Amino acid sequence: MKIDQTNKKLMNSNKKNIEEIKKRIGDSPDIIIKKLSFMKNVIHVIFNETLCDQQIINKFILEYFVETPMKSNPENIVKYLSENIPTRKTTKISDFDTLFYNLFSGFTIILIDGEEEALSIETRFQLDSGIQEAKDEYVLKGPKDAFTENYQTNIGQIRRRIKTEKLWLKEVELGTKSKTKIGIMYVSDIANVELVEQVINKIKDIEIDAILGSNYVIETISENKRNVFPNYLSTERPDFVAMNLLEGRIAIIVENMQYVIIIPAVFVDFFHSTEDLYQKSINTTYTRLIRIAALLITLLVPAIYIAITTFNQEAIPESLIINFAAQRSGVPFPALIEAILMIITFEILRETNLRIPSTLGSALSIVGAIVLGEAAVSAGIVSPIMVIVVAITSISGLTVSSSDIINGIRWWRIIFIVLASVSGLLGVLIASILFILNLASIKSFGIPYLSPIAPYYKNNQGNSIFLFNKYKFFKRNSLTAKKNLYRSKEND
Amino acid sequence: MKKIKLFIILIFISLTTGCWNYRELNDLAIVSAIGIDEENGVYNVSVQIMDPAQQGGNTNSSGSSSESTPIDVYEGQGKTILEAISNVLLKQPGDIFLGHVDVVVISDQLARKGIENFIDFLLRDRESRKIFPMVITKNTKASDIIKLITPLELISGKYINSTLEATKKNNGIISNRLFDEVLMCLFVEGREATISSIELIGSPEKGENLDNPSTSIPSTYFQISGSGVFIDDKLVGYFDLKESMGYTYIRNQSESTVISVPCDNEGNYAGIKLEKSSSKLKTTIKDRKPIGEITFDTKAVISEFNCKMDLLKTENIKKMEKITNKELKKLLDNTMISAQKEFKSDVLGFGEYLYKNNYKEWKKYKKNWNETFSNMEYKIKVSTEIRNVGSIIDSLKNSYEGNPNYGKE
Amino acid sequence: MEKNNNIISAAQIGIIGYFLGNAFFIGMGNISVVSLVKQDAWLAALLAVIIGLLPISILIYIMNYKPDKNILEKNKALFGKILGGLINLILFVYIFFISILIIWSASNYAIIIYLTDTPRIIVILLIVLLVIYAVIKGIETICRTGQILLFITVITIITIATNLWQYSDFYNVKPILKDGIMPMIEGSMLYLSYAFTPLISLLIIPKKTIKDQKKLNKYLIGGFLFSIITMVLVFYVVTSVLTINLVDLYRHPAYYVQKKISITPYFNNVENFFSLHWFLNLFFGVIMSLYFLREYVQYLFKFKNPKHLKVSIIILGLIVAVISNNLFENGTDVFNLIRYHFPYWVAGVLFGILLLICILIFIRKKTEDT
Repeated sequence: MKIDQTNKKLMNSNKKNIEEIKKRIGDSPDIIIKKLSFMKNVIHVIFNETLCDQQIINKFILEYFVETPMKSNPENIVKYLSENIPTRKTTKISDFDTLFYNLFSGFTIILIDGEEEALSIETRFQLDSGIQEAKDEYVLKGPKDAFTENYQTNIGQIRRRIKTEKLWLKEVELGTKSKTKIGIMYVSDIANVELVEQVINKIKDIEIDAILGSNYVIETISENKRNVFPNYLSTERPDFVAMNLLEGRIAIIVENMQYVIIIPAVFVDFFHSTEDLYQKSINTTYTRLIRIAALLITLLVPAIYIAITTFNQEAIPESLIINFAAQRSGVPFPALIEAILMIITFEILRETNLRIPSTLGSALSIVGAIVLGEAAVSAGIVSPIMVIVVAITSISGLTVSSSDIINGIRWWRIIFIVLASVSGLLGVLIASILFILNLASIKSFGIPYLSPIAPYYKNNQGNSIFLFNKYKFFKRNSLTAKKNLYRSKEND
Repeated sequence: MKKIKLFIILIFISLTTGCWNYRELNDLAIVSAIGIDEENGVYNVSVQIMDPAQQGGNTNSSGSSSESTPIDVYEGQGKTILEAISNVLLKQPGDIFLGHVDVVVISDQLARKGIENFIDFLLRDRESRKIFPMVITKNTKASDIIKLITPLELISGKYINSTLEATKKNNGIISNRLFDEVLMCLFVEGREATISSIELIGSPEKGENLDNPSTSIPSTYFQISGSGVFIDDKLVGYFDLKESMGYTYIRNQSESTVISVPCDNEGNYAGIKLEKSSSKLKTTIKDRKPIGEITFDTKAVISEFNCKMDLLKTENIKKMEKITNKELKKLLDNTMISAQKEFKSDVLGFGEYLYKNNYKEWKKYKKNWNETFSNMEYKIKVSTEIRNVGSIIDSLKNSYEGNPNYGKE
Repeated sequence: MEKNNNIISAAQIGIIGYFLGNAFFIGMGNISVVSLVKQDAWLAALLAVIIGLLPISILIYIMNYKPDKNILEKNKALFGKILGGLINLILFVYIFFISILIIWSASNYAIIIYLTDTPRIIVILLIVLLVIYAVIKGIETICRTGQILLFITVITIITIATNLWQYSDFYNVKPILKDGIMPMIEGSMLYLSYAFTPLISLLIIPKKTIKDQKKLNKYLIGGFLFSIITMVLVFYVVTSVLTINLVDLYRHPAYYVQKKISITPYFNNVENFFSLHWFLNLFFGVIMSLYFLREYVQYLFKFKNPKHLKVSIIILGLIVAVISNNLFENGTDVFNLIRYHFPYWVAGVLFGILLLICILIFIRKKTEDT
């Protein structure tokens, strides 16, 4: 962490220290400074009442100071207090930057007159929503708890599932004003330690004033910034994180952020979900194939529809061509404009659905459906077949289990449509090859994005598109796990 | 930066939609049937265009309540087919689209002059599917067939297509239904072509009227009447229904056909359904002369039996097999004699066999093969195997005690 | 997070060899071979499986010598600076010409079948845009894309073959060898001159950059032979379904034979979708040729700034596009060129150069041993 102003050391006299503190915080009224006396020393207890748990302060600190019987004055009062105050964690601080950091993290500072060191005691108040149900990633049969905004709780939820001592945690502090803690967790005898080193070094080099979400971190250390596809997974479920940690991946936990980032991630990982662990592997294979089919549908169907109705009409099955021609005869726009209009309207509806408060939600979705479905068709603005095509496209687009990939696919859908309306089926072919080229050129932290299909790794075929029992129970992903490739007892 | 540039270029290209091949579906005139005639030295092409507003718009109602017909027929003239078709563009706005043509009808006058003169267009056009059926007419003008309104399926092109397909599958009377099959037999060395023929029954003028199918007996309708026989590319005559059936058998293209054989001497017939037949053609050279050999095997089922024979006895089944063999042999013989003596054209493909299996000998006979063929000796071997007798195991007549007049029409 | 580590595996090179082996056969090589040997085209291709082992062995022999250098550097080491530079220039010109021919063939295929009225330059520009994008991304991306596209190609070919099997009649392929066996051998050599020539652009990849080098021989031979076998299958199915007279007539018989496929009675117009996979062969032909040209430019000018390399690739691609649009007037011109001049002046000369390199390597190795 870079220090950009001179870090003053604490001074002997409490009065001077308190003056300095008040000056720097602009005399803000939520900092409480209480004066006590203890064993002939003057002690000031400073805490921020909005961040601290009042009960702990009253019960353990203030009560201790008041009720401890007077004994002889110990020599090193700081050392004495740090060993005897009945709290979990005490640290010694000696400069103002650390003091402010601790003060605004919810710790209580004990300033002792005449000493140059102060003590900080953990008294944080839990300011989050508590462990709740996962709202965005729903799993039928698994545990339903999700991460919260509290850093400690998140790490606790992960540790609860992997109880080995090999699960290591490294911390970095980022952000000059937000001083957010970033935790990096990995299982030390499975993960790729070089990659962990590289990631930690890269994170330490980030210079920014505030980190408010995990995306800030990941965007900076990512290799392919300009590409629309993500090379990380973000999840709010601790069991998913545990599953991936055991495959040798690295989890990045950011304070105050409910989504944990998992790196490295390749293309096929976006079709896996935690559901895979809780169902039979052959049923999971079916579900994954449906997701991949949904991806193909959402990219190809509007493009192929435009291509075959405007360029290669002989590809339409004979029984449909008259129906299509009859439907298009009343519509004023060319097919390309119609498709783009419908897609934009669907996207607007989807955004609205996310942002609207729930009281208005149902009315708006009914209006949307009526507007799009019935009225537009009857008014002759769009043809019914186009509504069906766009509806299938959008619904398939939402089937893919991770929202990061959906946002990337929206761009490519438009490129497919534009190229199809320029040159028909040849355009669709060229767009597909461009798409595959783009995917093949990305690497996710050293692993090619399209592994294990291209380049073909035979050992990993069991957990990419298909899921075989052997891979569920006995083997690990050999691309991300560098050691301990088998899950048996002897190795672990 | 590069991506943005690429995007802008793409968007500009797409918005120009000068995209030279871009056509909306409703700009097309979808052709379902083409008829080619000749008049005074120019080709007269009649084009049957499907009218989508009548078809698709009225999917709920039956379509017959509308005032106008679901197809429109336009005629165009020109010295080549391409010119004639573009002549049609003078009369209606759609871009002629040949991708879904259901049938091409050629008039017999034109066929007699030679069809190679104009079928090049159908081959060269990119959109035409080349597997549409092709028929020639018998004593009718092609445009009359095109203008016909048929019952059940108001677009006559589709109706003719379905009839031809059904006939080929269940009746076995026609073969060489599709355009590319016709082309194959036009081009191959040693075999002449046949094309199925249809004729119009009734008056052509009444056929154009929408009222035509609305009575229980349509006043004008078409009927498949056999196949036309060609030498090179000129029409020389017609096989009738029976001869055409024999031709299909010899060419190994029958799928499932029915024949009636007499089962006793009192004029009662049995209906035999030939389910699976295979035929082999051979030409051998003996004493410097080619001799043809036809071997025809079939597995049959008795589907209708109006005689008083007891079908539970094996010798009766063998007797039926012998009778069927005789009838089939007569049928095939009929076809061969017709081809040899009447038309002098080797439509069966004996020359082709020689060409493909004995090239040296073929070179000697190549020049006047049709002459040689018309005097060629041949042998026909037929063998029938009756597999099954249907749901009832004995004939009704046989088990009916009493009235001897039962069953006589 | 390593940046410049190109990992290509031997299987991927074999797959690219497979695509390149059929690059000349869409609209150019197939009508040429058929016009020489008529219905024995499939037999000629079958014989080419055996005769084709010779050029492939020469290719592998050259690739194995000094495995950390590409062909341009090898020529410089073998022949000396001036003569080596001359030979490199000859290779450059020939591969330039090959890329022009393949782009012409691809645009012709697109125009005749898919986009009839579009001016040729627009189709060529579309294809060249794709090719430039691929070459800019690098050989690793190209190889990985090849692996994925191979699945699509193989599945499509198997679907077409199984659907057309019911129409295929061996009778239509007869008479076999009606003119004797010499025309068939001639046909084989003609076939090989089209099949082998695009593979010369594979020499630009130094063997050291391939991950499992020992298997390279196996995979490369396998890829090339597999491409010949695919062509045998195509020739056989096309001739037996359509008869030789129709095959002679069409420029792209592989497209027309698919019109007979009907998957169910309602999906019987699938030929437009299934014919798209032939484009992949053509694209890979152009991509590898342009990659050869890029490496030549890099070897000649030794650019330090990657942006200069990108600009040079774009310029090369556009030059190829413009020349390809204007050089040939119509299809008959190209047919005469391909049928009568190409086998001798292009394929023959290239093969001769390779033979020369091979002999020199052999002599060098002997002198190094003693």
